Amino acid sequence: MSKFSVNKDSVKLVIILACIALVSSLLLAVINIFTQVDEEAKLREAIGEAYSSPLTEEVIDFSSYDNIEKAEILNMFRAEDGAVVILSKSTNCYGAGTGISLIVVIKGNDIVEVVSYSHGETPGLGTNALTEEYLAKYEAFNVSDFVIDGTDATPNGYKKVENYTGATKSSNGVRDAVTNAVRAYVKVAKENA
Amino acid sequence: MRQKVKDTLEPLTHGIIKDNATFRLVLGTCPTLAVTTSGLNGLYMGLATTFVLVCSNAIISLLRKIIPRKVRIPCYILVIATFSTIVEMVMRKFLPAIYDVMGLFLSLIVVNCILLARAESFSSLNPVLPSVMDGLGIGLGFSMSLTLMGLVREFFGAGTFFGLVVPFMQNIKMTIFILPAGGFMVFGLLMVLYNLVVGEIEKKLHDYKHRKYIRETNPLLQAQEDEEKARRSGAIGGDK
Repeated sequence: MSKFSVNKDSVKLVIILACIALVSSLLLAVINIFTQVDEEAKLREAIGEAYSSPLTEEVIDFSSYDNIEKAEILNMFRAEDGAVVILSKSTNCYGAGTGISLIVVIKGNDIVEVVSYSHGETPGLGTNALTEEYLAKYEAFNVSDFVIDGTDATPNGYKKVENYTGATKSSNGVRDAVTNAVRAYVKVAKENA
Repeated sequence: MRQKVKDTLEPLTHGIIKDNATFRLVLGTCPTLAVTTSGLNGLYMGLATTFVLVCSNAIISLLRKIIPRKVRIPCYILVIATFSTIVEMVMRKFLPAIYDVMGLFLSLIVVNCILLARAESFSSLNPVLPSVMDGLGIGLGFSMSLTLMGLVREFFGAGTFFGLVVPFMQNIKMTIFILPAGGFMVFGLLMVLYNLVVGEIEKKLHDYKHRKYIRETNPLLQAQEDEEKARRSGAIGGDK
């Protein structure tokens, strides 16, 4: 027997495993073609439901912006009436895998609309901080009500909307998402306008 | 628990009641506790698992003579992973709201012990049709238990029923039922209840079958009974 002889049985094992893997990957590839999700179209549709003015094709470049801790800007659009629509995500909450994503619409100096886009909070518990009534409390404020100065990564104690009892962590996530959106608006969008 | 069956429909009823995955076999506890914060979530999770279970059982049973024993576990996992990925992709496209809530647990169907247990102990030994029936039975049993648990937790924890607000529960709802601790509580209580009720029914059924069997195999008892019957019908006829 030579040094490089191969056991026939193990070849059979490998071939069968490889065949099954090949077939399953082909199947998945075919199904993937039919179930691809166009994320941006989905987002634009959600924004259309939340805000009356249609979006322009312009996507604001926010790559130079530094996020605050546990928060992230995902997208920035400009609406036809000049408002800036920001998709802001915060992972400072319980469903940290998904995070809380909010659509924040800012026009001039006013926060016009705050709407929940996606989240992984517990229904009946964390979702209390994502109801329309709770989010609408933020719409009473101006951009200048937020303290966004300073180079450190934490939000500067914006506490004017009280946390929802029993959903403290989710409320914090909402606050961080809104604060980060306002901060990004001031630092990026206002200059571009 | 290796089993071979001849009757095609037997595994269906077995899976739903006698071998109920959640309350009898105590398999798949991870999604049971994590996802059942509401009835609808439980239902969708159960249905997703049922789909994967039926498909993977069918394929594994088809391939049972080709798959070598040495690599059977990787083969099973490959088949199961394919179908759970399909479920994930389809749900992501067509049920985004449910997908967002269950996200991680959909992919975790791959390592759900129900699937591997059924592949190893049932579908790798039986032909396609009984395997599909077994998958359907176990899956439906799992879905029903998950929906039931979700409904109980939702009703007491959030005061809703399948998402509809129940007015008189709004003032006395107890948040703990939605939290993990409440999940364990509901799980334990429902398991006790299930085994009490179903155990009692099974005992009665068994007694009845036993008595019937004795009567059928004992000609003396049968003759006695026939006589009794004849006498009774005669008496009634006489009254008229």
